[in-house]
Amino acid sequence: MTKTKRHKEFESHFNPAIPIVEVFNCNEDWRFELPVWDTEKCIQCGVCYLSCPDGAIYQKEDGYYEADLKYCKGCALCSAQCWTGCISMQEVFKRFPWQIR
Amino acid sequence: MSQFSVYLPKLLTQDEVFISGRRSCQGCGKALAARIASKIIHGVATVSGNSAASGQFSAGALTAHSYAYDGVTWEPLIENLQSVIRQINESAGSTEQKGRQRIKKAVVGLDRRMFDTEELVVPPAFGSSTAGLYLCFDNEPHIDKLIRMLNPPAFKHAAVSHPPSAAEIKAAIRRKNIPAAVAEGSFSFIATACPSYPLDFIEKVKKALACSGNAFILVLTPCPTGWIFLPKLTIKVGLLAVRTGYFPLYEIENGIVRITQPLQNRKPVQDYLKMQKRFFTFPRELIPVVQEAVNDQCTELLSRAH
Repeated sequence: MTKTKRHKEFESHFNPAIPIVEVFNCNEDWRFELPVWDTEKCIQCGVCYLSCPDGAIYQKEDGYYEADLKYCKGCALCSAQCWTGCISMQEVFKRFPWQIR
Repeated sequence: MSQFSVYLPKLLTQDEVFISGRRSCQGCGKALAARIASKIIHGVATVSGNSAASGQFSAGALTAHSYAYDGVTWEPLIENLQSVIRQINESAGSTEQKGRQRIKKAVVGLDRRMFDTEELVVPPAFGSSTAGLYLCFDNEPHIDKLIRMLNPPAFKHAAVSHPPSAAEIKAAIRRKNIPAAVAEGSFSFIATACPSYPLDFIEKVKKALACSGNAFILVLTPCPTGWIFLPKLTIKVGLLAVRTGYFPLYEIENGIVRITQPLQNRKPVQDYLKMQKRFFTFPRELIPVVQEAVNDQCTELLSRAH
């Protein structure tokens, strides 16, 4: 699709780090936080996997867990339930300048 | 030995049947309960009671109620439930011949509010001729009515409601138990569960699928937007509801009551009420009334249990 002048004006309002969502199934555009795993502390127990209400956490091939960037809502339930405290919440970029968090 | 229980989630299947998306809020207890149950109910046909009261999530073909999606879902009205479940049970043999997955039992997702509004409709749905599992998600809609009575009237307006009396609070807490329509009906397995005890919940779903006849599970689902607390505290609120005795976990199998989580050393109910912002206007004088009602409920349960 060719980008018109209006498209460019529209895009200039947004942070380029966040993609503009076209598939309305995913939560990429409105969440505030993302979980990050510390692999030194992680014991691969799978409690975070069980406690995720969206099914957004999956196990990688090396045994550690990771969040699906498409579907994670940043509710921080996994970090609250983690036994070893290896999950920390990382703030994502603000899309709008008037966004509070 | 207790430390080995940390690794128990690894025994579950890694396949995801639950479809994630924008259907629920952050940290939704209902979605968490539906996802945990869907790990066990894999090839089971699901039905969602899609009436106006229960269809809170419903939009389009896939709802949060019809979580165990395997190509066999129905969305009838609550009035048609019994006939649809009978069809599922009868067609179990024929679907096996066609090479599809075998249907063990029909699973129905309901909302707790339905028992308050549609009292006349619900009892005929629980017929003895059918065999199904009824998962009832309870986010305490009847407590909101009690809280709304505490709010003062608008300026220069006469008070429409009155602050709730001790008897009304006790009645509201008794109401959150298993409804009378279920207790009087023909159920071979009745249980209460909470997603903050996932392995306990999974065992109950397994038992309910294995038993012959109807089964009913009442699931307490904490709601961060409705009860007003941070979404990361969903599981901790559920834990406190069980540990204070506010929502005791037990199961009734063929008339025999068994308590699955200990009820002897309970925490005060105040801890549970303090966590939620919806009880902000709740007066302190009424907290002992709630404690009394919870104690009565627990002693009654302990006397019934074997």
